Amino acid sequence: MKKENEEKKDKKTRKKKKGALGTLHLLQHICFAGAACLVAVVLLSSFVTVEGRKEKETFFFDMGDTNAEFEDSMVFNKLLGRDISDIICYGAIRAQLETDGKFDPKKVIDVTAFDNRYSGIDGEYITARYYLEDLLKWAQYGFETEETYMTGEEADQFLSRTREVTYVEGNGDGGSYLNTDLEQKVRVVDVSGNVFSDPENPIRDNVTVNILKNRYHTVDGKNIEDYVSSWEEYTALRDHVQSAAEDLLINYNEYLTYQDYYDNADSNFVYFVRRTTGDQTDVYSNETVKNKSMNALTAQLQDTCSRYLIYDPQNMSFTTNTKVQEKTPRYVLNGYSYAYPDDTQILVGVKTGYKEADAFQTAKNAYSHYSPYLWQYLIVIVLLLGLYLLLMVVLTAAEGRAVTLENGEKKVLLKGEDKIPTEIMLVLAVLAGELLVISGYQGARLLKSVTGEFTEGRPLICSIALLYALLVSGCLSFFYFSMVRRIKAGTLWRDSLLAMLVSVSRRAGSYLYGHTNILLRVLIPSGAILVAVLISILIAYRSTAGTTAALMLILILAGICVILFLLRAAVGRDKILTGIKKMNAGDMNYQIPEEGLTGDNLVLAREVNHIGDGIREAVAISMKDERLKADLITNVSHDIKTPLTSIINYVDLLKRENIEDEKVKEYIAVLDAKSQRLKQLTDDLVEASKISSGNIVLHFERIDLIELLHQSIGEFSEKFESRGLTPVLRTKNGSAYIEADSRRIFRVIENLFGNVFKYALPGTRVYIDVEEKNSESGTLVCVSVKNISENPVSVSGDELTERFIRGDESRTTEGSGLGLSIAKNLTTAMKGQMEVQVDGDLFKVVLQFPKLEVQKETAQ
Amino acid sequence: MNILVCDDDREIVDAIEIYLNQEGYHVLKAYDGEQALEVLKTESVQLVIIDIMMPKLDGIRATIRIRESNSVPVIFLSAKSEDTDKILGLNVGADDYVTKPFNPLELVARVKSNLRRYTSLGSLNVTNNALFTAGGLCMNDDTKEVTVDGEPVKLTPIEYNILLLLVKNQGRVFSIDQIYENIWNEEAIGADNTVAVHIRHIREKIEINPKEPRYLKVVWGVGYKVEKQ
Repeated sequence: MKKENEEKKDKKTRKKKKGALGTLHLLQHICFAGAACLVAVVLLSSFVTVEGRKEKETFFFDMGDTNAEFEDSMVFNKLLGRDISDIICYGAIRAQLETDGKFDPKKVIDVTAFDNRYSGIDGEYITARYYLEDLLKWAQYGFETEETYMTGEEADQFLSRTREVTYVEGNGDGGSYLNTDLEQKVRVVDVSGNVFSDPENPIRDNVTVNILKNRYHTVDGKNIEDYVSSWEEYTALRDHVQSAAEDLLINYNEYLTYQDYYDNADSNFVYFVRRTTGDQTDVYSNETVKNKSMNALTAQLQDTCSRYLIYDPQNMSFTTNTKVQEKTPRYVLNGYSYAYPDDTQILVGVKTGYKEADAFQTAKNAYSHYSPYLWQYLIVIVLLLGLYLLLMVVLTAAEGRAVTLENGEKKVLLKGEDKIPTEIMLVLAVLAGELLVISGYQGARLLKSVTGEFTEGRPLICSIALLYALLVSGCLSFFYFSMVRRIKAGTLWRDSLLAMLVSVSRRAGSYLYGHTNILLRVLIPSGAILVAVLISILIAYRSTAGTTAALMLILILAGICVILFLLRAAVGRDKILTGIKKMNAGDMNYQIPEEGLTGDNLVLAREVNHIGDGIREAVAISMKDERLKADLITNVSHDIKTPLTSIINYVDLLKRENIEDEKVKEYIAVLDAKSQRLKQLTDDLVEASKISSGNIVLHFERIDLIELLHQSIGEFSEKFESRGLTPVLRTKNGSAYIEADSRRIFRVIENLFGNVFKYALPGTRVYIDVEEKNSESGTLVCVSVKNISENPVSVSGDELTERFIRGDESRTTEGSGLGLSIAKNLTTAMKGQMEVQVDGDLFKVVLQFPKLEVQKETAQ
Repeated sequence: MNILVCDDDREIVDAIEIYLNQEGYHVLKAYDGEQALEVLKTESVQLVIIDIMMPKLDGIRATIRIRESNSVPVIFLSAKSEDTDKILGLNVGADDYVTKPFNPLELVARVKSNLRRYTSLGSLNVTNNALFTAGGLCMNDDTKEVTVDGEPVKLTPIEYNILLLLVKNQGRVFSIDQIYENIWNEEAIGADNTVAVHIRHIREKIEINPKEPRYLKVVWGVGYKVEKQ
């Protein structure tokens, strides 16, 4: 019952958790969508579209203008700037088309002056004068020319004999366009007889020229050919007429739009353009002008407009309470300098009541909806995005957390989509992203066209943005959290196609490896490499540089792989070799580390380790056996010693009795000798077995072999003397240090000397030589003991060091037969070597120990 | 003087009795540890010779029990000849250790030595500046007399000087060359075995068993020393 309850509880909490998680996800999407929606709102209200002169114009609000007055904002500035530029341009056109402030179709146009209005004109020039309406109509209709061939005479007929030259009194060297308008400055003079040396008999060439069809005539009712006396002059004038008319037509059309837009009573914008040419002062304005004087105009402007700008370049005066800078009117005015005399003033202003429905009013309304709320919007957006990121972090931590299953196992629960192979999921993610981007872009374009550059249907746009953001957020979460769960469950790699590929190829490889013989194992990979290289060469031979480079890269990479593989194999082999060497050197506990080894090397290492195990076991068993044997011998010797004690004691007691019988005395002597030998034998036996079983503890210290030999000879001096033996110690140095156990090394020497004492021919010399020898493993100290054997030695040197072997085989002499064996084993235990050489009767024992390098000073 | 001999091998006990009787000692016999403890309770005993491996109560444990109430000299007599056995025996309170099979004369000498030390201990006058001692070894530099456990020993002048050098510098190891230079006051050029022979002679004179010296020890391959007692 309880368990069930708990389970229910568990499920409940899990459900709750799931619910909470779901809510968080939803919240996250809402945050993102809300932020997107607000961004849309901010973007949509960040610009204003106003009616322009020709088309709608869009102005973006400047972020820095927040909380600024509309009149101080950038958008006001831009609007005003646009208007200033427009009215200056308008003024220039008006000067061309109007007389006394009204459009004048009968205005006389000097085509050459007009056409050269930008560059200025020479003091004297040839021109034609037309009525404005004629030129406009002509341009509207189009200019027609005809390619005509003329003989000299015909040309003479066609062109005038004289030409009409206009002189303009200008300032400086040339006349300016402005002055051509002033009658008092223009002088028209007919010039004749200057063209030809003999006017009665002119000679002209035959030519082919484009003759303009004269649709309209000049104010004098003439045509252009009547003003010129040469073809050059004709073509120049013809072109001037044509381009002046075309320019005028363009300007006329502009003029109409300006007029429509600016000379309109329903405007919050007020302007006065005052220009004075000579005595004549014109004022262009959209207000009724009563007095053309500057003061009056200024007063009128300041009365009606609370924001204004007064620019008087001649007096270097610029007055404004707007943010428009002086350079704005200056630059524009410079562009139209031909139309404006130096004495020009620009006065503009804005009625800040914005009572009239115009661009300023529209912008003002939009601005008041945008500016005060921008920062609030931005803060909310940042907050929402921050919350979104926070939730991202929280959910990243929470998603795919391992849950404890009923059986106590911890497991990350995966969803259906998490089992799709990683790469497919990634491809899907990329596709989805691409789809979203494309649909977003196309959708935005569609919306733009439907909503008229986003000026209408703002709620619709915002809700579409919201839905789109939900979609984006959903997609992002779907893929992102799937990856998170994969990583946590550790299936990111496992469930990937690449992992499957690797696993399959590895399995195939290992199958190949396990089921083929060693020859194939080497042949298949190397054959594959060879074939790959050959194919690459073939491909490279027949392909472009790019492909070749790619192939080279692949080959190099493959080469690096092979090198790495070989390196790994070599390192592994080295490890094994080191291990084998160590084992060989006696370190039976060494195990070749199997980490990092693969393939054949791993197998090899395992086998070697197995051999090592086997040897170790065998050694352990044999050591144990030896020890048991030594223990047995020790115990047996104890048991022998007790009765032996009695034998020795009672033999001794017998010796003390006064026995007369020589025979009995002799018997007792034999008993005495043999019991003493038995004693020696048991002692030696125990020692020999202990040494050979490694059952002794050695205390290594620094030993001077020469000192030791002196001491030993001292010990044996009387024994040697008793047999007439003379020890001769020959040394090269005063000392020869080695590392050995003090008592054990004496035991070795004692046994050797004992041997000499027992078996040497009486009356001979015993040579003991100490010398140093260099070998691979360092300097060795050699001690050789040489003597002449009393009896022929019938066994080899090697055999003599075996247990119970004696040179005479008769075993009648004293000695256990263990002396040399003990000496040899002890020597070996002390890292030395002992060798017995028999050369006829010469008996030689050589001891070798590694020399201990010490300074003589420190030694003493 | 009463000497308690304890061994489970009756023949050994009997043999020891014969030797000790010849020297004028009275022997009390026991054949295991418990019997030995019984004898000690009832009789006045001046020295104990005891085997280690015995039934009922072995020599080691018996000695521990003896040492609880008695400071009588104890000599172990054992077939166990290992160093570890000897060290163990001496550590539990024995004064000497003789391995089987033993030389009867050596045993008797050790008995005598131990008894002398036991009975004359404390009567030694150590205030004399010319008196040098190392355990039972005593050298009087004024009279040039040397005694071991009270027994006078005759040494040649060189032997005496060598021994004095070692006794004066107890614990320090002297190499052959150093001894030579000290005694002969000459530089030792390729010293021979003279010193070693002298040392052996000294050992034979002052030691009961020269092969297992108590006083003048040989450090093979290094030199000679008198152990600090």
